[in-house]
Amino acid sequence: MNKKYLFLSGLLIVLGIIMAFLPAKKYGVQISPENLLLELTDDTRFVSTDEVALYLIEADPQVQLIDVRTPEEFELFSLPGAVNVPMDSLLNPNFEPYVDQVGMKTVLYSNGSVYASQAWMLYRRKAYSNIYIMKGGLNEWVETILKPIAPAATSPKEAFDLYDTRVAASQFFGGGSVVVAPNSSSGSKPAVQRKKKKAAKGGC
Amino acid sequence: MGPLITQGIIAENWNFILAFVIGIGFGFVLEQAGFSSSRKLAGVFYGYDFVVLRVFFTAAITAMTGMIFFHYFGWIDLDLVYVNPTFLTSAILGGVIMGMGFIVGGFCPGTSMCGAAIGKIDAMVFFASLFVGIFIFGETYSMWEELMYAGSLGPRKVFDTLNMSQGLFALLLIVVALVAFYITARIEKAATKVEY
Amino acid sequence: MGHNHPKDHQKIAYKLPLIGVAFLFVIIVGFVTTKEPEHKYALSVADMHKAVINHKETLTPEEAVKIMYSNNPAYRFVDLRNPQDFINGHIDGAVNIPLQNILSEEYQSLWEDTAITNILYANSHDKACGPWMLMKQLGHNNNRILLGGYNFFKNNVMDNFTLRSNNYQDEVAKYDYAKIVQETSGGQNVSSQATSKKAPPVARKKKKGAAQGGCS
Repeated sequence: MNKKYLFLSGLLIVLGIIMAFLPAKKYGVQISPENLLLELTDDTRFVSTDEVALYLIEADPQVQLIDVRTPEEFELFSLPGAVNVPMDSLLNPNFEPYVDQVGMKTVLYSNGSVYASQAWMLYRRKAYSNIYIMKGGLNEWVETILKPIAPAATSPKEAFDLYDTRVAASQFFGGGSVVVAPNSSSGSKPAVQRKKKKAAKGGC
Repeated sequence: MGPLITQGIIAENWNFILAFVIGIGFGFVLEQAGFSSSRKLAGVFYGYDFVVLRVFFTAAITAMTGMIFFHYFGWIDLDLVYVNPTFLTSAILGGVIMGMGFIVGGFCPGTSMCGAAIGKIDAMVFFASLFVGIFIFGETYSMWEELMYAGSLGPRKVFDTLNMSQGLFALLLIVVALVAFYITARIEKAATKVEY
Repeated sequence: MGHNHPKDHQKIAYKLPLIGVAFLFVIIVGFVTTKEPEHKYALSVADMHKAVINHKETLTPEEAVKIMYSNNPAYRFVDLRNPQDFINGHIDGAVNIPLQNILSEEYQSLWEDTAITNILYANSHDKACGPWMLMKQLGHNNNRILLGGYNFFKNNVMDNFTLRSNNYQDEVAKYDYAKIVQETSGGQNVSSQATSKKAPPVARKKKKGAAQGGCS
């Protein structure tokens, strides 16, 4: 027997024995705690209600709203085009395609910011990309978009511009923000309609 | 870290360039092992030359060892590496056809290209008839479709099926390979020398 | 022919041990350079999800007031805001750990000390939520979140010496959204482009046509 073959065989056997005793490692796709903390320390994960309003008015096809409240709350009121992923089924694989969409901006919202933040933490650990939180949630949505407060007379011009934009937006959303499918609102025709009588149901 | 492309570390556009580099490397190794000669390749079936078995078995266990260690070091995540799904019927049938073609033609697809590259006429014929085969298969695909997807087992790994740990299976495979090398070397010695 | 003489073959085989040694070298380098990550998740995503929907590990301002006034040694307030905010005002007896430093070596003993429950707070409830989840996922279970956050506590407790309001739940819907939508609508609809000052008149004109628009 040739010495070099003996050497190589021995090497492989030794490596094989080491392999047999290596502890199994499961990585899975997730981001490290350090990186998660890094993302927590800057506020780029938040989008303001004004930005969300703009997405909806422009019918931005690259934005997916995710409502993490309960189905009952969702049924009563939701933002146009939002998909309901209740808190207790955040990790349900059926909803994964909505949340983790390539090239889509996913904006999470709830009544406040807490649930959306919790959902964000879970999704970011799973390394879903482009996940955002609507800052302040629907409470803020009401305070800024649906019922904007007029700035004081001494406020700078920017405050008035923002106020005007919000007033216009509130008229846009005031009428028919009840469960309108994203595509039906993408036309240039007035996409919003009043549904006073049957506010809870979306279909016409 | 890895796999590099699925993790987005390297852009997907690099796929073909990397495939080209790896392909050239593969061809180089085949040529180095003398696989551009159909007699050497067919030798494994007649019992006078087992280089084919040694080269491919060594390649398999080396790659396996590297992958398992790299996975342990965190350099590559084996859970993300694509595993070809197993279709039992077509795997057996395809194996038989491939083996027969190997004996009759004296090449396998990769080595026929090596042979053609150094100017072997038989390799060129083999290479051309490969495309004839592909054409016939493509034209009669509807006949085979059902057979092709029969016996689907999904992306299976042997050690999962055998219910043993990855490392232990690797060790067993290495032992099997070394025993096979030893036995084939003995057979080679006893066989009559063929000049090629 | 002749291109694969046994001699050539021997020549190639001669290099094999070298390749073997190189292979071994790579693996040794791997073993040397691989170190255990400093922070490892102790909880899976699914377990964390369960802990999140349980909503157990919080602390109401009422409880916090009691703890603050009784100086209960089993609790420690942890202020996650930046040092400037901390200097400007903080809950009595709080320790300042700026958010970006919560994983640093310096504070490890503080997290690992299971005898004392840490009460995490930041300006708002949701700002303390992320850090709490992070520490929980790393296996530190002795943390609670102060509901309402520092802002609520400051406005309703510290400035008044007693709890004035109990409106600290962030996730409670403050409004009846569907109703507000009806109130604010006033029958006006605006087309997508009309976000300028001219919006109201334009909207009024389209009032009648609007009903068909969305239904088709």
